[in-house]
Amino acid sequence: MDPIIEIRGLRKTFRRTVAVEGLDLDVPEGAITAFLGPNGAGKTTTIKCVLNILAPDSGTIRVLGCDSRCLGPAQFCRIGYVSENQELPLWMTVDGFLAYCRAMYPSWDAGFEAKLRLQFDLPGCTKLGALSRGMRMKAALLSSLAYRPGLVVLDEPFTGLDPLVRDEFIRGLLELTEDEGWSVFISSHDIDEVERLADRVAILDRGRLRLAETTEALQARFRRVEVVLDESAPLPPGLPSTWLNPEMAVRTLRFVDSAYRDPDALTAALAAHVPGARQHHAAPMPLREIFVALARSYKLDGLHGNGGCGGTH
Amino acid sequence: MRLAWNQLRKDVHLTRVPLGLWLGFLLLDLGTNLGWFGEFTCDRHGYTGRVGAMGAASLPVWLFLFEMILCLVVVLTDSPSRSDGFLATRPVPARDRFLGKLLYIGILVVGMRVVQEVVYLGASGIDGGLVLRAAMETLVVHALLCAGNAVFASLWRDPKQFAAGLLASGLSLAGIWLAVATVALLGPWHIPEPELDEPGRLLAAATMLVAGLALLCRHAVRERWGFGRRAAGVVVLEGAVSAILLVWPWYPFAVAPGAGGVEPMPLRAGTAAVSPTGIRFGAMTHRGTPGVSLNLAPDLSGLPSTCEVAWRGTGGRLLASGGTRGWVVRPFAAPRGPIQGWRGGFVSQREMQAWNACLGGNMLFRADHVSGTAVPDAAAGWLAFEDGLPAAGDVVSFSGSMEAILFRWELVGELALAPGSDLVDGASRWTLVAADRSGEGVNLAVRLEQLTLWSSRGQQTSGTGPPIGYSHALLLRLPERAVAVLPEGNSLVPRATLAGHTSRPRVLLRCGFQGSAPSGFRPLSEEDLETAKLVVLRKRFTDRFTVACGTGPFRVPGLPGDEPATVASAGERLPRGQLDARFAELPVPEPGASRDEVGRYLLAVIRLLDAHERPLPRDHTLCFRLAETAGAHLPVFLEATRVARGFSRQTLLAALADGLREEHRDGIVEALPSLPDLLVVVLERGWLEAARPALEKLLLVPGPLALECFRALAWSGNAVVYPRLLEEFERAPSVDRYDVLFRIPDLREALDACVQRIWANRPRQMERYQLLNRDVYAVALRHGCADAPADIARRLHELDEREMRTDWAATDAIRQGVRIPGMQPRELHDPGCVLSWFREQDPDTFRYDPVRRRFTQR
Repeated sequence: MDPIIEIRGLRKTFRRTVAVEGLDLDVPEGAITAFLGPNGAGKTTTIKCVLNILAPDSGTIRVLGCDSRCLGPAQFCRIGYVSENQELPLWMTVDGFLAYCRAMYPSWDAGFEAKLRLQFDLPGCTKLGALSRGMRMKAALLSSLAYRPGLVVLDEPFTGLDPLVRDEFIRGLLELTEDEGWSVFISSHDIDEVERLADRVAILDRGRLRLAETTEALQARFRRVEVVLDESAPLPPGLPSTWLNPEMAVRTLRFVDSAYRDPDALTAALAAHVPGARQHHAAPMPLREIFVALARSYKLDGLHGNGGCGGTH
Repeated sequence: MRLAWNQLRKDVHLTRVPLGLWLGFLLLDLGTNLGWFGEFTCDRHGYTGRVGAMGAASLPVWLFLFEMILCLVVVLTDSPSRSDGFLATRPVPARDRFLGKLLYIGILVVGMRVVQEVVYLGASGIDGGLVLRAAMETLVVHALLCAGNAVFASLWRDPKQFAAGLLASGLSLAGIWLAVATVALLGPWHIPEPELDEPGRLLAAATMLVAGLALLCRHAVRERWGFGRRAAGVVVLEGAVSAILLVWPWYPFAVAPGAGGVEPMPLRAGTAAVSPTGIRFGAMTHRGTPGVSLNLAPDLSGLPSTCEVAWRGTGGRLLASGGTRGWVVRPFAAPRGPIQGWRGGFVSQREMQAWNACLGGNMLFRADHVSGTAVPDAAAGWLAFEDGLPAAGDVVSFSGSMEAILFRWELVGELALAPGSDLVDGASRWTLVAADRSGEGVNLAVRLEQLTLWSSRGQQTSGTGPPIGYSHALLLRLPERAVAVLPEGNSLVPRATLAGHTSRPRVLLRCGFQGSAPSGFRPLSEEDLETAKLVVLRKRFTDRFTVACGTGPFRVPGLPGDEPATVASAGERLPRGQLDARFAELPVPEPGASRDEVGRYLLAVIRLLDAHERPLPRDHTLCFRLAETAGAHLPVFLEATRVARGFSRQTLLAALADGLREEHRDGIVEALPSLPDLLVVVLERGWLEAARPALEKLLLVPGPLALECFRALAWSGNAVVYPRLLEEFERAPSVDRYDVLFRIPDLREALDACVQRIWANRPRQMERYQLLNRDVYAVALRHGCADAPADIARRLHELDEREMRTDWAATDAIRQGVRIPGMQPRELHDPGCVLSWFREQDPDTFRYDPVRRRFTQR
């Protein structure tokens, strides 16, 4: 299946600051792809390049089969974009705003709009400028979903949403993805929520893509490992680079195995690299912990000038 | 289109408040102009002190501001230069977005303005063709203004950046023009003056700028230029347009000559004979470096009487005779070398001359300007150059070109002095609003509603400067006397501003025709006012064309002004010895000499006499020589007398009086109506009887009479002339005239009444720089008006010390009318001494002495 967003060799700089460097990424159709990364990693820049808000310095981006620089009304009718920093006509009332947007989309679904309005509980006569940040985000979401776009690009969409709405929104998005085959490209710091949503995860760090793979595969190859040694000892040298953030606490060695395959392989690796390992325990990790482990690892890499330890798949 | 309407709807909703205000202001402006809210009157001094009038006057400013603000808001809210705006990721094609804005600006801003214009003009009863033209003009101007504003705004992403861009472009434009001015001042290049006062050129420049901005905006949006690049683009564009305006003045819209018809013009042949006059060496340039000035006098013979010509030098060369040396004369626009000439400049302010042109049948210009020969002192060309000055003794000739702008005075019509009477003239309507007949005169309030089309402004005033922009004159005519009573300085008409004709098309002119005012001949009686008519005259642009001109060879040092000094002034007059030496060098023309030869001789004589700046005694050798020549060349002498002034004219008249014989009598009498000063000759030669018919004709000639003429008429002993003399005296009272009239016994009573009127109507308002109207006070003192000393003393007490030392007018009046005992002759001319003395006296101690005809102290 062709990717709905195809990024090749993307580079974007702001004067001397490199925001994105050599980014290659595919967003598959019909899936929810989470775009994760610490602050300043280049997520929003990438999304803006995808939507032709920013012009890339080099590289190509194809969205819905079209070069991002040539995106036009026909493509934007199929793209729903919501960003936490998106400009809205704040002087409009919610009703006026929706009426204004409604005229732009031939495929606007009034029933779906009504359903979302009910769900979001938006006051029709209030000006957007008078709404809270969360309510404003709901209005933006509504205006970007009511025409049933095939591709939804969300940049920090959960900002300001209350848990109930967030939950309903995620469920709705999952349903739509499943029922109508929507593709979602979502950037967020809220990894717990993303974990429930995302089929695929891409992690960006300092403008470079560190990994991009399915959530399932990611979680399958990451384990938090605790090894109890016979006696207290310093951190053994020569540990594999796929063991992230190794720490010694008296007789316990803790690390994150980023290339976990099965218990036997782990046992063999421990035997080879950690002499005196009496017993060990490998626990699956939620996406948040994986992300934190990777982020810490990248940070240390950055300090030590090493390359990444997570592979891109 | 659906999306464009959607955009329009959104923008209307967004700008509903300023849009409502804008429409409200338009309505208010319309109502003001149509008189829905009453009359906002103003006099010629402006709107100060009248809140309503000030509000009405400020309406155009508000309209303009809102027009600009609306365009800015709708463009900046969805700026195409912003790639991260709300619409950046919405399916709205750029063409629909553009169309939406276009609909907004076109319908709600420009359209409303045009509709307002059409409604106003239509309701004013103005001719349909003019309404259409005005509407088109409004459409073009406002469309350009709004388009320019919108395109410039679309270059920037938000209001903050717009403000920064505006500042940057303003500063850069100022910098460009400053650089150009610096280059023009310091560099060797000639930079012509940009003529921006022609609508066609301004429109062309504006169109170029808007088109350039649009292309720049399109490119900047496509290439996603940052602020710096965009600002740089604007600077480059400004530079390009400035260069086009300055260096390459190409304009696609040439303004066609007016439709008033072209008079048969001898000047249109393309050449004009000019004579060099008044050559002077001195510090002629702006930097004080030596230069040469040269006056040129074009030959205007054959110019129709109702025409007025404004001259402007456009270039020329001074060539050394018989050699290859030459000096380029730079046009006026170049700061260091002006060539500037006004022929008939400020004539439009002389209502009397307009009157003469249209009604009296006389020449518009002073007689000396249309004598048919080169005019010595007509400043028709003014040249200065500093590169390679011609050396003293060089024989040079001048060739160059001048632009002539031709106007014609026309009679618009007459208004009866009844409130409500009106006169419609095309796009103008004159209505007499009020006629106040209190007192001895009449005060009139005349409302002028004039559609001053911007596109026709250039035809009337382009290249002529502000004075000639005043294109109307008002006169009061008393038919039975065939004379005009002139209001002072009322030739004010609304100036065409940048379109928006409805903003202030009406002006209320107030003109007072006071019987005893200096401008009146005599008090206006009730009967006068019944029959009087208010005459409206209009000056119309006719044509403009370039005339090649050239002089014959002339020798520079042979002229009087070639002293190595600055421009001749009172203290640098030609000394008597030098004058005599120059006279001795002049070849006296033989009796059979050609007209040209005699003309040149007289020209040189006049120049020398003017340079001498002193009267010449009657027994001077020159006077004898002139008298000997006068009889043989009378026509040329008469022409020379017409153009001469002051001492030179006196000398020529004396020569005529001494040198003419009986056979010349008819020639003098014939010339009398056009040269009243010849009365001196008539009197001296005893030809009064033969001149009687001419004298009666002279009475009908409107306008002031010279003192010599006045004196001669008084001495003619013809009672028919007395009323005219009294009128003339009342119009311009002076001690000299009073003395003339005082010697006519039959006039004592009438003279007394006349002086009493003059005294009763003396100016009550104290002028800052002239305490007294010298003539009125001097006449009052000479006549013995009892309260004159007290009145003068009262006013003198209002003077400070500095004013006391400089009020020559009051000093003259007191010296002529009061006997000042014990004062040295030198002190009698010192304002400080005379006025201090007078102020110290008790005015009640002065008594009129009828024998001495002065006030003396008891």
